[in-house]
Amino acid sequence: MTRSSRRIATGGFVVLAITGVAAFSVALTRGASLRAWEAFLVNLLFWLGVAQGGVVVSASLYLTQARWGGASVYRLAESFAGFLPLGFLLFWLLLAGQQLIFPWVLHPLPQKVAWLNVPFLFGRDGGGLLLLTALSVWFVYASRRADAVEWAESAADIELPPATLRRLAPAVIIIYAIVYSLIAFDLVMSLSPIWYSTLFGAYFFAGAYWSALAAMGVLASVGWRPVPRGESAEHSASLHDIGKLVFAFSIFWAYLLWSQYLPIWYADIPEETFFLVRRIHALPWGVLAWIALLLIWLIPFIALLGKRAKRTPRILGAVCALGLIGMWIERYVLVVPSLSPTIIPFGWVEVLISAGFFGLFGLCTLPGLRLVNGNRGGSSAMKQSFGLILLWLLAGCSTAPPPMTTFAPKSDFAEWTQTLYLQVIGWTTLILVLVTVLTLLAIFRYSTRVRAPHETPPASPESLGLEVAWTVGPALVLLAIAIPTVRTTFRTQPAVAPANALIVNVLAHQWWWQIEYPDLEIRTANEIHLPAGQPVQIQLQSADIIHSFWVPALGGKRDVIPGHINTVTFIPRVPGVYLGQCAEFCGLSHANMRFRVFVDTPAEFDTWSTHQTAPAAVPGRPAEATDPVSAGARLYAMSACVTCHTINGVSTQKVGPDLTHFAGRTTLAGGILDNTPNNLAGWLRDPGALKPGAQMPKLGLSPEEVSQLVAYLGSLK
Amino acid sequence: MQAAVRIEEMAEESNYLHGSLWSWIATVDHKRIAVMYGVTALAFFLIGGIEALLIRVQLAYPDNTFLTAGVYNQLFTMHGTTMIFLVVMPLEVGFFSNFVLPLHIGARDVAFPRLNALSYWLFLFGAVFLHASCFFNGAPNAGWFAYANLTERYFSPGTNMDFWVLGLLVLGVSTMLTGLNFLVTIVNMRAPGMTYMRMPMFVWTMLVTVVLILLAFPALTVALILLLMDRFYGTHFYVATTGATPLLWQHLFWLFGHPEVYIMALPAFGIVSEVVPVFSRKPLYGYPMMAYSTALIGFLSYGVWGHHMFAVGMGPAADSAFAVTSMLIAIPTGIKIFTWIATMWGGALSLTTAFLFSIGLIFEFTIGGLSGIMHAAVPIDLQQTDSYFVVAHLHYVLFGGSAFGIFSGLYYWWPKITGNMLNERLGKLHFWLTIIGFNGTFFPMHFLGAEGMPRRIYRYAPGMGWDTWNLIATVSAFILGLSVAILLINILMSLRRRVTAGADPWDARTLEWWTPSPPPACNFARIPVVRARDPFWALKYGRPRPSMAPDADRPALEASTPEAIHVPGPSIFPLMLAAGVLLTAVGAITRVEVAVIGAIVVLLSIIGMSFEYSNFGEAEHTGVAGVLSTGLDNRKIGIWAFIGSESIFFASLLSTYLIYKEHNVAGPGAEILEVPLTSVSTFVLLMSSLLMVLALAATQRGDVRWSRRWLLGTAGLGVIFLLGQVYEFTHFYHQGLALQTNLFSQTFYTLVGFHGVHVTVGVLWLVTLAIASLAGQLPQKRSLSVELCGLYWHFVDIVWIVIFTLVYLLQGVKGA
Repeated sequence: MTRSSRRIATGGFVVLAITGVAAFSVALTRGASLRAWEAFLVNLLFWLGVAQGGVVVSASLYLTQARWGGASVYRLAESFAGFLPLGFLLFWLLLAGQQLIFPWVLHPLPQKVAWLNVPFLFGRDGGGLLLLTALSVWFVYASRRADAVEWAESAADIELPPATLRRLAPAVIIIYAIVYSLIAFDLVMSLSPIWYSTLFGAYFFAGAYWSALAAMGVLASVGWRPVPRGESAEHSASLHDIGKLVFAFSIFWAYLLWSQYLPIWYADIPEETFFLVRRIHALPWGVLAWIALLLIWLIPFIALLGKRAKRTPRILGAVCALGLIGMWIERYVLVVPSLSPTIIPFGWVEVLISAGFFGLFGLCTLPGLRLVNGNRGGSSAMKQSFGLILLWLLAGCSTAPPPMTTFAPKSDFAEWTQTLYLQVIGWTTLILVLVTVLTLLAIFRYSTRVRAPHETPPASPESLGLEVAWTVGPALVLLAIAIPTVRTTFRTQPAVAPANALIVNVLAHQWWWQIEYPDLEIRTANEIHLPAGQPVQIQLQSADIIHSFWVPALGGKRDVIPGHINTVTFIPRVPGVYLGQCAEFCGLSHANMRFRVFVDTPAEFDTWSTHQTAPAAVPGRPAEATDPVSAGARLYAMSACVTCHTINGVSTQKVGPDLTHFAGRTTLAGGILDNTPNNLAGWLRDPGALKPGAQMPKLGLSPEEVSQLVAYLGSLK
Repeated sequence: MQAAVRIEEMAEESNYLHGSLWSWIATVDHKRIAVMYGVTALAFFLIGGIEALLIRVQLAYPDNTFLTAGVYNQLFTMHGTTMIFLVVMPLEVGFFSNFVLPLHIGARDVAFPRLNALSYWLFLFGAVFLHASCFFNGAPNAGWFAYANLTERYFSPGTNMDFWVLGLLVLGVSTMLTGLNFLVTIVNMRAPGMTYMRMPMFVWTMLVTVVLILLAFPALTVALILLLMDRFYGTHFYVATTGATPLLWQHLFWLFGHPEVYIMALPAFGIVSEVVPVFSRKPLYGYPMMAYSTALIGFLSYGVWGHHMFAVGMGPAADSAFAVTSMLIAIPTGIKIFTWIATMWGGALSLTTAFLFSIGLIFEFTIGGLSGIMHAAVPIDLQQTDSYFVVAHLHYVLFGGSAFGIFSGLYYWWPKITGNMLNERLGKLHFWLTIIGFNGTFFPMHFLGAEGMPRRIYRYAPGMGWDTWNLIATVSAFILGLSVAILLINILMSLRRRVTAGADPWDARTLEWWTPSPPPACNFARIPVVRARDPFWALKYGRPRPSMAPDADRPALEASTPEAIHVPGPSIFPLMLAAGVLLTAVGAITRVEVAVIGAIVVLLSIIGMSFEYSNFGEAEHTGVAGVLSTGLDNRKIGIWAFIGSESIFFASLLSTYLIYKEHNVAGPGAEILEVPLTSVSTFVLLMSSLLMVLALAATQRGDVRWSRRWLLGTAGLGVIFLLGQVYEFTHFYHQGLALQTNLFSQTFYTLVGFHGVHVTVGVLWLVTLAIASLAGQLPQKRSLSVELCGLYWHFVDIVWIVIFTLVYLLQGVKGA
C-alpha cells in the first residue's frame, strides 16, 4: 500500500469514524436511543470479535507451530489487535445504555438477580476483557519481537517457538474461551433473560474466531498476502492455506449451530424454543437468519471446496467478504430480536453507526497492516506502530509520527524505555478506569435524585478486608511496575560503555552544541552522525550552565552539568534523521537550542567521517581574485570571525562553532534554520534578531560583504 | 439551645466584618486576617491567570511573535512563583486554615494572634516586593525553580533574580511563622474532649502540612541564603569551577520542593474530606486510615526529592531508590481516593457545587497521580521530564488537586465566612466550564510531551505535530479564564444581593456550623465540650455510635461553663515589623542606608511588641488560650517547634559544609582550624549553659537577685564566646582566608557565622530578660520567659557541639 493510498484510507476511515460518532450521538438525543444502543452493541460484538479472534488465530498458529505463511501471516492475524484497547474502552460505554439494553436492569429477575446485576456483570466482563486485552497486547508484542519473527521464518522443523509465546498462546486461547463465553452469556443471552443455553458461549466465540479468519482472507486477497521469506508472491501457497482455514471453521461454526439447534428442537421445551422460533422460523427475522446461514456456511462450503477457488484471490476475497457480512447479520439476529421482537429496525442509524465502527476498526488496523511483508524483523518498526496505536488512542487521529515523538524508538535505550512505558500506561489506565467507574457508579446510584434528600443513610461498617484490599492491591500493582523499572534503569545506564563504543563528546553552550569525535579527530556543531548498529557513548559537558541532551527517538534525557561529565549510552538501530533539543531551561534562547542526529549506515558514516577529516576547502583562485568565494575567504580571515571560529588552516578559535565543513551541515544557528544562503545571509546581518541573546555580535556587514561571506561559507563542503 | 440564641444576638453586635479601616489594619482576629489573605491571594490569582493566558497566546501558533523571548521567560517564572507562593499556599493555609482551623477545634483564635498578623503583612509585602520587579529591570526570569548556575550574577546580571531571592526569603519566613503558629494552635488549643482522633480531617491534614512547612522551608531558606551570598557577596556556592556544584541547589531546592507539593495538596485533601461526608450525609469512611495515610504521605515526602533529578545522572542505584520511594507514596494517596469513594458509597449525595468540585478533584487528581507514577519510573521519566508531559502532570496535581479543593472549600465555607450564599446555578456553570477548560487546556499537554515538546520554550517550529494541540490548549485556557470570570460574578452578586445563609445551610457536621454565620469576633459564646467525631452532627441527630465515643452517655456537645471572653486587642506592631523587613529587602537592592533603617524599624517593632501589654505579654497568651490541651504554655510548644525547624536549617548548612569541604580547589582548607583555641571557647559556651540552668532555677524559686546574676553571667560567657569567634575570624582573614577565597572559606564562614548570629540573638534575649528583671517584671510566676530563653540557648549550644565535633575535631577525616 503506497503512502498516498494509506493517507486516503486513513482519511476515509476518519470520516467514517466521525460520521459514526455523530450519528450515534444524534440518535441518542433524537429519540432513537434504543436503536442506537442496539446498533452499538451489535457492532461492538462483531468488531471486537474480529479483533480478538485475530489474536487467537495467531495464538493457535503458534500452538500448531505453523510456519506455512512465514512471519507475515502472524502479522496479518494480529493486525486487528489494534482495535482491542479501543474496543475495551467502548465496552464501558454500555454502562450508559444499560437501562435500554438489559431488560433486567429495570425489571430484575428475582431468581437471577445474583448473577444479573450491573456491578457484577460489568465487573466480571470488564475484568475479563481487561485481562484478555492485556494478555493479547503482551502476546502481540512478544510475537512481533525479533526472536519470534526469526522462528516463524526459519525452516528448521524441530525448533519450538520462543518460550514467552509457548506460554502465552495457550493462556490467550483458554482465557478467550472463558471470557467470550461470558460475553455471550451476558451481552447476548441476558437480553432474553429467561433463555438458557450452555453451548451458546462456544457457538459465539467460534463465530468470532471465524470472522477473524474471514477478515484475513479478505485482506490476503486484496494485497496483504502473507509471503514467507524467500518465496515469491505468485507462487505462495499461503492464500490456499488461509482458504482452507476459512472453509474448515465455517463448517465448525455450522456444526455448533446444529449442535445447538438439534437438542432444542428435539426437547421442544417452550422456554428454549421461543428463542430459535423467533429468529429462524418466524417473520421477519427468519429471513435474515437464513441469509446468514447462506453467507457463513453454504456459500463458503460450496465455493471453497476446490483448490483452485482457494488460490484465486477474487473468489476467496468475495466469499470471505460475504461471510463477514453474514457474520454481522448473525450477530444482529442474535441481539436485536430480544429487544425489538416484531420489526427489523434498520435505517440510517444502523448504517452510520456500523460505518463508524468500520472507520475506527480500520484506523486501528492500518498501522499493524504495515508490518505485513514490510520491515520484516525490524522490531523497532513494530513497536513504533504499536506505540502509534496507543498514541492514536490517546491523541486522536495523527497518522504520521511527529518528528520528536517519544513513541517511535530507534535505539535499544529508547526501545527498552518504550517497553516499560507501555506496561505502565496499561496499569495506570486500569486504575483510572477503576476509579472513574467507581466514582460514576457512586454518583449515579446514590445521588439525591435517586434517594430522598433528607434521608440519613447509615454509616458504612468499617471493613478491615476492604481497607487491606485497597492498600495491598495498589501495592502489588506498584511492585509490578517497580521491578521492571529498576531492571530497565540499570540496563539503560551501563556503568561502562561497551568496548567497541564510538565516543562522541558533546559540549553544550548557550545556545548551541559543539560535537567532537575524539578518536576520529572530527569537530563539528549541532549535527551528530552515528553509524547504525554500533554502540555509542555520548559524553556530555557544559561550557556554561546546565543544559539537557535529548533525542526522543534515541532515548531519554541526560542533563549537561558544569563540572560533571555525564554519559548516555545506546545503540542506534535504524538509519534516519532524528531531531533533538535542549530540555533544561538555559536562559533567553532556550527554545533555540536544537540539534539533529543522523544515524547513517556504516558505509555512509565512513564516507562522512572521511570527508570531515579532510582539510577545509580553499578557494581555487589566487588571493587577489574578485570572485565572491575568494573575496569572502579574504574577508573572513581579516574580520572578527576569526576571533571566535575555527576553519582548519585559517583560524583556530573555539568560542563559536567550527566552520571547517560548514556547508556540509543541514542547519545553522543551533539547528533553528535550514542551511540556505538566504538564512545564512540573514544570520550574518543580525544574529540577535533570529536568536535572542546570541553570543555572535551584529557585525555591521555591508550587503556585498554578506554575500561574499555566504559564498565562501557555502564553499566549505 | 439557649446559648445559641444568645450568640445570635451577639453576632449582630460584633460581626467581625464590620469595622473601620484602621481596625482592619491593626487587627489580630484570625477571621479578618483570613479574609485579608483571601482577598490578596485572589488578586494574585487573577494576575497569575493573566500571565498564564499570555503564555498560552504566545504558544497558540508555531513561531509566534506575540511575546519576546525575554518577556516570555519572565511570564512563566512569575506564573509559577505567583501560583505557588502567592495563590495556592496563601489560600489554603492563610485563608481557609486561618478561618476554619480555630472554629474546627473550638478555639477563640490561633495561638499567637499577633504573629498571625505579622505573617500576613510579611506575605503581602513579600508579594508586592516580588511584583515590584516588573517596574525596574523586569521580573524574575530564571524559572520558579531558579536552577543554579543560571541564577549566578554572571548569567543573570540584572536585578530580576535579586527580587526573586529576597522576595522568596520574606515569603518563606511568613510561611514558617504561620506554620509554627498553627502547629501550636492544633496541638494546644483544641476544645475540651477534642482528641486527636476526633479532630476534623481538615485539621489532620493541616497538622501534617504545618509540620512539613516547618521542616521543609529551612532547606529553601538555606538554598536562598547561599544564592543571595553568591549574588551579593561574590561567593561561589553554585559555581563548578571552584569545586562547588550547581547540583547543590537542586538537592536543597527539591528537599524543600517535594514536601511543598504536599503542602499544597494535603489541605485540598482535607477540604475534600470535609465536603464529601457533609454532602453524602455520611461520616468519613475509615477515619483512622485517612489520618494515618496523611501522616505517612508527609513522612514519605522527604524521601523522594531525587525523582525531580533523574536526568542529572545520580546513577542507577540512587535513581532506583528514589523511584521506589516515590512509588510508595501512591499507596497512601490511593487509600485517600478509595476512602472518599467509600464515603460516597451508600450515601445520599446532594450534588452541590462544593461537592462537584470535590468529586472533580478525585477524578482529576487521580489522573495527576497516575502520571506521577510514570515519572517515578526512571526510564519513562527520562523521556517525560522537562517536556510538556510534566506541565500536564503538575497542573493535574496543582489545579486538578489544589485549585479544585480550593474552589470546593470556597463554595462550602463562603456562607460561614460572609453569612451569604453563593449562587448554585452560577456555581455549577463555573464547575462545568472549569472541567471543560481545565481538561481542554492540560490534557493535550500529555500528547505534546509525548510528541517531544520541551517545557519553557517561547516558540516552536511548525511541522512538529504540536500545532493542533497547542491551539486547543490555548482556546481551552480562555474557557478556563471565562470560568474564573463566572466565579467573580458569583462572588460580587453574593456580596450585593444578599441571600442569608443561616448558621448551618448544609446540615453539616463540624463545630464551625454551630456558631452563627458570620461568626462573632469571639467565635463561640462558650467553648464547646466535644464528645465525638463530627460533634455538631451528633448534637443535632443524637448520640454517635458507642465505638466512636467511649463516654457516650453524656451529650455529644455541650458548652463549658461561661467565662470572661477575652479577645486579643489590636496591634500595629506586626505591620511595622513587616514594613521594616520590606525596607531591608528594598535596601539590599538599592542603598545600604535603607536596609539599615529597615533593620532599626524591625528592632523597634520587636521591642514595642514585647512591651505592648503591661504585664510583659502574658495576657495575650493566657487570655485567648482558655483551653490548653497539653497543659503546656503555647510559647513553650512554639519554641520547641522553632527548634525543630532550626535543626533542619543547621543540618542543611552543615551538610553543605561537609559535602564541600573535600572539593576545595585552592587555598587553605580545614587544616587551618585551631582546635585548642576553639576548645576553650567551646568550654566557655558549655559553661554558659550551666549558668542558664542556674538562672532558671533561681527564677523558679523566686530568687530575683541570683536570677539576674546568672542571666547576666550567661550573657557574659556568650559574649566571650563571640569575642573568641571574632578573633578567630580576623586571624583567618589575615592568613588570607576571606569569605570569597575558596569553597572552604565560604562554607565555614557561613555555617559558623550563622551560629554566631544565633548566639548574638541569644545574648540580646538574655540581656532583655535581665533588664526586665531589674524593672521588676520577672517574678517567680513568669519563670516561663526564662525557660523559653533557656531552651533556645541550650539548642544553640548543642548546635555548637555538633559543629565543633564535625568541623573542628573531625577536620581531617574524609567523609565526616
